[in-house]
Amino acid sequence: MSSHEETSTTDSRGRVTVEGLSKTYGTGDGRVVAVDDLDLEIEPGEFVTVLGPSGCGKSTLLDCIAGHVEPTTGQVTVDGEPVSGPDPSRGVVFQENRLFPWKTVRENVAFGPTVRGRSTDRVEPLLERMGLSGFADSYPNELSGGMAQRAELARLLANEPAIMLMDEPFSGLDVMTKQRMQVELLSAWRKTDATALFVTHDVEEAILLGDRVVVMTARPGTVKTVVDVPLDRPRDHGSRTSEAVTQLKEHLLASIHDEADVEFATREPPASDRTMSEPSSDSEPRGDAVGRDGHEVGAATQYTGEGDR
Amino acid sequence: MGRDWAGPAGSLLGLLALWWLLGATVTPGLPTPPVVAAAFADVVGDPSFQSSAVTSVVRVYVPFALAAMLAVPIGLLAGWYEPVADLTLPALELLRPIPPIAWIPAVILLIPGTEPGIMFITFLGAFFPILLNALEGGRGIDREYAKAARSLGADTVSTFRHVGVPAALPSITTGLYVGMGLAWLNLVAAEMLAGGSGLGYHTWSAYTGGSYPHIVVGMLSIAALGALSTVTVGRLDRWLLPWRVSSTHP
Repeated sequence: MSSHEETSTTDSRGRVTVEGLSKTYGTGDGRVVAVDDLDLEIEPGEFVTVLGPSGCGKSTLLDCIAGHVEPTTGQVTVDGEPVSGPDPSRGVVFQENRLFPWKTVRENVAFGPTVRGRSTDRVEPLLERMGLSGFADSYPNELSGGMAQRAELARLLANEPAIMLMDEPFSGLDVMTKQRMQVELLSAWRKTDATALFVTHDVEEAILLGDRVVVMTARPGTVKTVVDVPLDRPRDHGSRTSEAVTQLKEHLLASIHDEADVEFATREPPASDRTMSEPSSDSEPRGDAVGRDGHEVGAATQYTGEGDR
Repeated sequence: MGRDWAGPAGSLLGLLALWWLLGATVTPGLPTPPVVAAAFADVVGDPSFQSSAVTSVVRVYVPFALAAMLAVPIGLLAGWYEPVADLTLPALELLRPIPPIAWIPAVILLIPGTEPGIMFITFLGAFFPILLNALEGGRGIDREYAKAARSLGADTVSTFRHVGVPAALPSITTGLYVGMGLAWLNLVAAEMLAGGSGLGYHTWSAYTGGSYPHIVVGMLSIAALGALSTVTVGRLDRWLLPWRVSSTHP
């Protein structure tokens, strides 16, 4: 079996093709075009991050690939097969923790193989590898946020999906935990041969994780630009401080704020202030500004619109 | 277990004191605790009293179990699948406002034998609260969990089993508490009207016989057995819901 740890990828499982995808919610005056005529091709084994403000339709894009949402027009195909509903080959990690509260961590992780009638032999090693052995018999409400997302990642990995779909899985975590989880995700993903699509509004996260960063615009949501990340793998915490990341971050921020309100742009700290010793001040408030925090940056809220669909 | 018993003990002693005070002052007819205790000691070894208690317990638990076995699946499925709701709820909603006690005349006429009739009344008392809570439980299921289950490879049946049922369980056990209470309520009413046996009948015949202490003995026996069945449902609750750290029920 090939994996990201080997140099060549002969396995062609997990090619995602999005063609002319549009999704409209509601009718009449309440009609919202979440995604408009979006095209995207993801190579087998590639890690693509989708960067954009809340309300730009990036969650809708992910929902369409997952098969939870039916496109209004256009289609998603995986390895040539049109997506017509959810499938265990396309695993999803959600923004809010979706571990089943009534099952222990072990039962949650074993859920996929169990309902599919597959062997659960890999559950214990997986719990071990993800640092969850000590919590295997705990219920999700006894876990910290980072542990819960780790368990959710393990639950997805237990199914050995061809495609991993992640919808801002770390956005609810504190900065330290978030950074640790990013590196853990990379190392877990490297042991698979899966294609990964990771949605985020955090610029640094998008760069650190992705082979390519897809920048989306809001209203209607479509691809603004796609940027290659010139960073070798494996990547770790040190990658955050590399020159390539700093430059790419500048570029992407400019691309995003291009659209944002002028008032917001004037509040940005000068570029020289953004040192790598405080990555939180670089990624977090900015993520909030284009994302969620309405009262701090009201102008940005206008830009983003309401709700992430 | 370092549970503090002072509060609960104070609550019970307060009730006892109030009862005694009322009996000694404004309602001289009310037998005081020692009188009732004596009457209870007198009757507790009596086989007819014992069989009354057993009869009442059977008349509660059997219909309660039947009601739960029927109402939980119907309510849950109706809450989860719209078509099941359309098929079942209109008819049930029409019957629901009829108090079980109002069924007693029809039941006496239509159902032969005392036991099936009384059990039917008890069944009705338990059925509707269990149904409504299971329905709410089914409706309140967070569909995001179902989405997660589907993406992990669960089909409709296993999604219902692994997500629908456990997600609705807290609501279902609430229904079981309420249903158990109403089963006792309707049992006693039915026994008083049509009984011939059971604790409700025992209490009523103490009234017709003019034995005040035995009225209170009957009432307290019903209270004790009712409380015991609440504890039973509580055990069931904790067994079904180990993942809920705190329970709102006793």
